[in-house]
Amino acid sequence: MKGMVFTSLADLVEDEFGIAAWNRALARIDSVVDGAYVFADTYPASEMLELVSALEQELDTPADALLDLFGQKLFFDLYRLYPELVDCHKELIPFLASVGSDIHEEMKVLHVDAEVPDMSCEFYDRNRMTMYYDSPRKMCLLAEGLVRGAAQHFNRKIGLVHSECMHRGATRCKFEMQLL
Amino acid sequence: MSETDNDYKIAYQREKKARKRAEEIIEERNREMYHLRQDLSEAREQLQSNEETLLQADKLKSMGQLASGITHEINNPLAYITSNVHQLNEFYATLTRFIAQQRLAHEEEVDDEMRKDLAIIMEDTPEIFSEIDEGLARISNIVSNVKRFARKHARHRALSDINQEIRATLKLVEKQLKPETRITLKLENLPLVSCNVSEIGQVVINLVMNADQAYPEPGGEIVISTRTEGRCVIIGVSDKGPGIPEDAIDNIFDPFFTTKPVGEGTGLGLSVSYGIVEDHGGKISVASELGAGTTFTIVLPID
Repeated sequence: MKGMVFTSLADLVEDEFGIAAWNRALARIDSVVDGAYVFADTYPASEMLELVSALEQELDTPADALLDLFGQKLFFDLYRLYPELVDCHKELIPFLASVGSDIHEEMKVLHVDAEVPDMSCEFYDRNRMTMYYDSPRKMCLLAEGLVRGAAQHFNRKIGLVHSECMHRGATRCKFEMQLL
Repeated sequence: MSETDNDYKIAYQREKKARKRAEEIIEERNREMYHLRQDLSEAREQLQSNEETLLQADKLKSMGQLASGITHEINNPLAYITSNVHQLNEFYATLTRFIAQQRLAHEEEVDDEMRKDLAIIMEDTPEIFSEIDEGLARISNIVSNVKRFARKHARHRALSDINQEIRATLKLVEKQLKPETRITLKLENLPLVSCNVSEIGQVVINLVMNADQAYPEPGGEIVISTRTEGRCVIIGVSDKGPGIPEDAIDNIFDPFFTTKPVGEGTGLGLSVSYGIVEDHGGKISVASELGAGTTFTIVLPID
């Protein structure tokens, strides 16, 4: 997993919960770099899962809420880095539809070692779509947070139903989304 | 130390470690960028060189087609002019005998002026025929050389020892070089090459003669080398003469291009050499530096 995801999480925890909380969370895991994450480096995805679990315990906050919050922040960090990939869309739904097909492909070009989830979608109209998420890392809740972050960016309210989930035995996650 | 201070200390150590790693990454990327830039630069140079070679080959191909057409058109009138001149020469001999007989029979009827004119005509005409013959032979030679530059059909080829051919060729050409010219041979063992040895010999003669003529003063050195590179045999002919000017080097293989004074060269030697080497599936190239000398390199495929 790209280092920027780790540094983004570190920033979030340090800013929202304090340096001590981040230190304690790091102390709970066996980090390959002792938590000295670098934006341009790459780390095992399992370490991110360990971190989320450590934070859940340390902050006494459910992982889904934490990941949702992190997803929203991550969207803005990503937008700061690659605004052109977002700004070429005027509406939320067409943007979300382009994530699996265009944006992830672009990421693989920019970072050859990037591990992006498989995302596909059924695009019904400008207001409604279904997105499918498939990844061995099962970070679907982070994806949900990213969607909410995107909705904030486009200044839209979105109804999101995570109707099928890999954590509940589904082969892939299904997000049914509709603009409100 | 309070807990908060310790937390900051831990965070500082972590950030310091991260910074060091970030610096390493930047250094790695810089190095990668440097190598990429080098590769790109080399690729661009190679591309440029290939483009120039292609343009040169294309130009010479067009010239070959043009030359082929022109030589064909010249050959027909040349054939009947040559034949007619020969016939005319024979007629003239008959006429000369007839005039001689008539003069003897009618000596008293021939006035002095006519006698003088006849004497001049009889004296000059054989020389005129000789000059015409010489001119026709030169035209025929030029046409034949141009045809060799332009032709596409391979003549008889056999597996040949290039080194042996070079040595034999040098014996032939030696007397035509400046007596003080030194020839240095750096011939490595070569596999046999399928070629027309007399044609390859012709190329070597052309290059050696050119190298010799490149030296304005006697005592120049010509180095002839051979070596194997992959599935090719490389022949090099080098001199340390004044070099070829940059504005001439692009045209050096063009038919009739010469840097020699008018009348001292037809400008066909190198174009014929080019045609022969190309016809063998090889390449001929030149590298020259003003004041340092010139090297012609022939690459011949072994198979």
